[in-house]
Amino acid sequence: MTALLQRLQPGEVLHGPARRMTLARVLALSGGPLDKPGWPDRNLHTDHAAAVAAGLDGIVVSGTQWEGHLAGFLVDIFGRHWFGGGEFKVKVPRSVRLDDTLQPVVRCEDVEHTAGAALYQLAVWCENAAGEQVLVGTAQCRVPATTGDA
Amino acid sequence: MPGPYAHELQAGDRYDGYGFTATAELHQQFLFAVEDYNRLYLDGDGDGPPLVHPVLLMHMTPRTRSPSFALAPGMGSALARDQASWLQPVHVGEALRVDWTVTRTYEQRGRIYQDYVATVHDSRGDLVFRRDTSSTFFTLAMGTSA
Repeated sequence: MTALLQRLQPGEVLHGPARRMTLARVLALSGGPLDKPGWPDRNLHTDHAAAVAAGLDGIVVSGTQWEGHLAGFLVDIFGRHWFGGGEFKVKVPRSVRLDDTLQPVVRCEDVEHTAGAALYQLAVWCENAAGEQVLVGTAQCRVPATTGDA
Repeated sequence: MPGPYAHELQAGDRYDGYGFTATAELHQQFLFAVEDYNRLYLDGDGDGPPLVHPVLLMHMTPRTRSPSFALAPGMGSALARDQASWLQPVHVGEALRVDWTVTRTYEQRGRIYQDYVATVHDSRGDLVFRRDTSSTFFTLAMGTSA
């Protein structure tokens, strides 16, 4: 069991690492494979001109980037159990710009103990430096009670 | 002449699937992208190669990855809701296949919405990841693609 999971009781709020959406990391996610000829792909997540052509005033970071931060934080909490039935449902209420700093947050809503397992129900979100939510939803993960090495 | 545009597809229609391999190079690129170096992604869990970070499957499963995905001129699309389920561990080096099926289309407040399911199967045919997404279409200058 991870140290984070040991802390996860109903009402407990856990904050993940804060990460800045630098151009280098945005290009790594949205620019296509590094060995693709002409890398990076030009799109509204990587290229100012492409973003302007789409009616935006600049690059917007792909939502997959901070959905990935949230999913990674859930793996930090649940360990390999996340890969055997971890699930989240989210919405993305606002866009994220280059150099914004984002942080995933989870709040444990309930832990249901059933035969041989514990089902964790979480509220999840990602917030920017102003405290605004840029992703919001729920998550759940089942952890076998007999497994102590998550 | 392109095939049907994305917003024209109806429940039961499919986007063309595709395959990819979660190579070490591609995987490490995405670890850098999300700044996440959990030991599970570097050393594995003691049962085979390193585990693939969740973000790689998420990145490969929007319908925009489909070879047949095409937006009509002047139209964009945006994510409305997303449900992602990790069902089996995926290890670095595995060959994977992604498929998409439209599950529902409807209009709301003058916008077209399309729900679709993306599935990822490994080379043994096991379902390893499922993603149920709701998206909306709009004329350009209103939002972002997803």
